[in-house]
Amino acid sequence: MQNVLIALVPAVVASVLIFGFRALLLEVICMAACVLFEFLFEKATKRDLTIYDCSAMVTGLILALNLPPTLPIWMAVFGCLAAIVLGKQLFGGIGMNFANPAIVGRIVLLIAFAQPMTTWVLPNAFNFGADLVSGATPLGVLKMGEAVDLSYGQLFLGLRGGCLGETCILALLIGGIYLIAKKIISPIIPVAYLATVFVASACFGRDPIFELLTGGVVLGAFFCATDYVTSPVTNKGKLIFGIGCGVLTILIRVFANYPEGASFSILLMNILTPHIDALTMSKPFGGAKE
Amino acid sequence: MSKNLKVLTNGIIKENPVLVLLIGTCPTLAVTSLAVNGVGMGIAATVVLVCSNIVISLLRKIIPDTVRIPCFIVVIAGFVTIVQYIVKAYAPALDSALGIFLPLIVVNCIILGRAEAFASKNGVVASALDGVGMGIGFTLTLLAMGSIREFLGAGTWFGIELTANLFDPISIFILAPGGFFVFGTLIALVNHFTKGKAIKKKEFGCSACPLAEECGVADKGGCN
Amino acid sequence: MKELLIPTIVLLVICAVTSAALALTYSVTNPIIQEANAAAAEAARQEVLPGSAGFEEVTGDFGEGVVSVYRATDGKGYVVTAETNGYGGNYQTVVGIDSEGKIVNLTVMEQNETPGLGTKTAERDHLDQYIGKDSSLEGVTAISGSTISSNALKTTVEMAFSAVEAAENGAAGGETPAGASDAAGEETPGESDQTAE
Repeated sequence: MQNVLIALVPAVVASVLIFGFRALLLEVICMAACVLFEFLFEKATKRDLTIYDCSAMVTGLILALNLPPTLPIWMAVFGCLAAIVLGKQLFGGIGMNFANPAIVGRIVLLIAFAQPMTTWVLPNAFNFGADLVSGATPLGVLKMGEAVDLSYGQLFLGLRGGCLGETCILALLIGGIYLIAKKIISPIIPVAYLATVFVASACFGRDPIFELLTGGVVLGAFFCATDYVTSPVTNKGKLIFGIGCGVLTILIRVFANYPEGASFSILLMNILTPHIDALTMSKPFGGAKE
Repeated sequence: MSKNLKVLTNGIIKENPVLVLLIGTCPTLAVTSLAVNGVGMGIAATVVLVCSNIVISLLRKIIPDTVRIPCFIVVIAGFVTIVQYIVKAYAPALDSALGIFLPLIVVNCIILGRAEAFASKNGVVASALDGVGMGIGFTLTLLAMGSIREFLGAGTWFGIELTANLFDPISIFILAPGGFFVFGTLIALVNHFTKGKAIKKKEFGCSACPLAEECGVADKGGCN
Repeated sequence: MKELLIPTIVLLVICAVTSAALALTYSVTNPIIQEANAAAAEAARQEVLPGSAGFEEVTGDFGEGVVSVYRATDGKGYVVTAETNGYGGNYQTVVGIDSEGKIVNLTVMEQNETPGLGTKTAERDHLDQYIGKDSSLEGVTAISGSTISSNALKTTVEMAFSAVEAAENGAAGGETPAGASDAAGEETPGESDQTAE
């Protein structure tokens, strides 16, 4: 778990460089709130304290990186409550959750506070968030039928509107490669997810590189979809999971009313994970003959 | 007399139809996005429940077992339709707020359930009191859920603006997910506060339990 | 035989009594219901075209989605109810358009949009920008984040304008009430010596 925190450091740094110190404030508060809620819940239900395994901190950080920079603090804390209590503790704590808690928190926030969660600011340089103006994200602009005026370079470095952690693809890739190199996560899900997004978006006539560089796909692929508890165990299962996420993301982006589909697609695939496991896990040796 | 009092108060907490017996959950989730809708539905359902309980109890010795269910449904549907005409004529705002859920009172499990479990086996006075008790329990639950959901999700209570300057409304509570969250929390609270005193599954029997098919112990006399 | 007869008779009697009770209730409440419905519809029309003496319905085929078209008897304008698909379901608007082709007022009768986002399109703040506009709807902006709801509203207003235009020309196959001045509107514009609007 500490490794995941380390892997997210580049993204945190990028978020502060691009959006200013409010980003750091949101990130720190979310991490603290998640730990606090986990502590309070476990104390109230007389369970063993698990706050030292850093999983609550990781949930808090990932949730914060999924939020718009202008979200009021109390709403972010509400999201942490939903993520930790609803998404994890009520189901039995770590290892028992059916979906990624950070994703649960983000989706609850999106439905609960629709307008604040879709209010974005646009950066123009790595200037700690000076001269931010409000505007739509690239995918939002595309959904309204207009053309996006950003180069691939700008998109790769993160000089665009979006959530705190999703914009700087460079930082996310550094973190993702670190996790893969340290064998914390298997590369199958991220690669399958991203490759499917590339291919599927091309099939629908959208610019594949643009689709990869915008929205929460890279953040989701490396840090959310790869959560051990909520993704399949076998390699074949992981492949199916990654492809499923990719297909759903593109379907939502193209046909549905939301401009971005990463969080919903990961949630839906989390729900399917037990079934994917049942279909892909082979029987252990010595099992009874059918 | 105290036996009748027990029948009356049963439905409020110990055997609360929605939070303990877990029947009538569809209208509970559907109409509690506003407190006033919840109360309106509760009152309409209570009127139907009391009337149908009385009539079915009066006719319980006449209705043969083979046509029991069709007779109950005709009586219930008749009362629901009468209530619907009266609401449409004298409270049209409530009619458009409740929408399809007003005629759906016909299949509200509480009414058919109490007809089957109580009114067809007990005297008129007891059945009427049971209807009143269950109705009050239902209405109070709807009021509680509606108030919580409206306060958190829209910042008002019975339309009175309350939180305009305090915090933004948390819209999820007037949508389906929020309804389930509040519902689950209320069930948990009632479970907590009535531990040991609420009706045990043994008392109302496996036939009324929603998990009877899956638990595996139904034919061995049930659980706890 | 008895086992068949008695249940049947009991069920029959119960059905008969229930039906009688229903018929009685209906006869008492139905007039009140009809009156209330008519009053509510009239009130909605008065709200979007205030000060009119009364309205009469204009029948005809105004295209899909136009629920009704009413003309004010004093020539003040038209009230059109139009609906289309919004984000979450039906989106129905009532628009009052005066005789100069400008919107007097409008109100949303039905919408199922996302609370906090799409529902803002039905609020006064957003609706007021339409007042005074003509059919070009110049300067009307959508609410960011609720494109579909905003477009649904705009579409219903555009439908209202086309319905008014069609009513002025004498809609296809429709009758206009006696005394209306556009009874001769069925002639194609430009070919008669009556001035086109």
